[in-house]
Amino acid sequence: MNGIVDFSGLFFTAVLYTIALSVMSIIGGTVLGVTLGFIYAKRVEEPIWFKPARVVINIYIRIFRSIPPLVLMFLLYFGVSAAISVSIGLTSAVVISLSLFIGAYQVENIRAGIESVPRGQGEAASALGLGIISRMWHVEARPTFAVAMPSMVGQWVVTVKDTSLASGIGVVEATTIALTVRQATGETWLVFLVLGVTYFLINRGVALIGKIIEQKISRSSSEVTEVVASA
Amino acid sequence: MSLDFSVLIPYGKDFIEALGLTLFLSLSGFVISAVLAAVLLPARMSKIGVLRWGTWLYVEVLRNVPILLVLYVVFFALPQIGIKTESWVAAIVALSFNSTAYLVEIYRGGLNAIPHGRYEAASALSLSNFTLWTKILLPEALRTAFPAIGNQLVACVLGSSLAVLIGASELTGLGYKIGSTTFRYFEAFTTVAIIYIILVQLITFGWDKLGKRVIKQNAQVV
Repeated sequence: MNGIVDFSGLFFTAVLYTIALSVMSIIGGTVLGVTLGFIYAKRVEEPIWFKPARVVINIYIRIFRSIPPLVLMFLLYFGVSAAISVSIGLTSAVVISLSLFIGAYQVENIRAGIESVPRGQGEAASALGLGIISRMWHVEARPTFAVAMPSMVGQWVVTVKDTSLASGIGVVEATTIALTVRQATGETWLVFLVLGVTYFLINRGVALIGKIIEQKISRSSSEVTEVVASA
Repeated sequence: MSLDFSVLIPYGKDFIEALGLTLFLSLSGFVISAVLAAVLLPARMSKIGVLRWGTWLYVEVLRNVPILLVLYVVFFALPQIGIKTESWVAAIVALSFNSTAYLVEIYRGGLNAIPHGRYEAASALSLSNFTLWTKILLPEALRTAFPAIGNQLVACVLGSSLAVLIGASELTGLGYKIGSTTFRYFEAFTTVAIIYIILVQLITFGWDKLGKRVIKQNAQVV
């Protein structure tokens, strides 16, 4: 038992690294998914280049939802540096892989959100002469996120869990250190219990943050409705 | 350094075997979890607190903990209490445990989506409970949940790749092996990735086709 306490500092640092990897990958996946999702959704009136862009995004989704993130990490970390002289760092390999993987799911979440916006609102926006960007920002964004947030947060949790795959290419995050401590102390069950509780708590935290954002969005969108109603 | 995919040619037979193992791991995991989830579903929706709470806890834990950790528990921790397994068995067990948690919730979502009027209509027609479940509720829940169940099947295929980390030589494992012996990591993992892409596209396509048939049959019943 004493042995395991000696590793607590090391483990704590590794947990921080897991959190850092998660935050970077969540941001990467969300930015990618939201950007592509707003282009991917079908609208009555839209810039002409959205149609070919949709084909490309569809190919992206099909490809990156089909490759296991671990294979992506292997490909980026071992493959790219073996094929060309540019080498990708451990952290970058993990963050890029997870962003591409999770982003492919977030595109669909955002698309579903946008397509749930009543058609009349989009038509009203173009009748008012709003450009596509202001239409996205002022008309579609709020109801889209109100619908998409729960499933997006679900993908955030998947992201946190998938940072554990980084141990496969040797990133010093929580799972890697847990394996090290297990080998050093032989306390297999205890180590895995602590690791499990750690991931569980991080994910509870992520879910909580998601809930707060969700409430903020729904509150402010109800304020908008009130303003519109009183006007 | 130029790319040379010809180094992979001698491994043709290994690729077939590795693909077979990947399919075996993911399909076994999926089928077992589909059955387990069906068994756990009544407990999850039970009126008895202990059953409902127990399955809820199972689902919550398994959905918030990395599948890799589940795999390590099965492979490294269970032997300490006398349950020793081969790596492929451990992979199937971990996949099933993980996938069950998701499928229970998918099934439950399908059942919860059924409008209450169905129950009232059934009792107005004085249908037996058996008829209600087999002819009305389950087919309708299956129809709602069908796409999500397909996504879970794909998740099982992707999840089976973790088996490489406990030494199984499925597709990812083979890619790693070829990479480390020939140092052609890029060619090896690109090929592996392409095989996964084709595999998942085929599965998705097949599942959609199956779904259309299931839905059509249901429509005839309705």
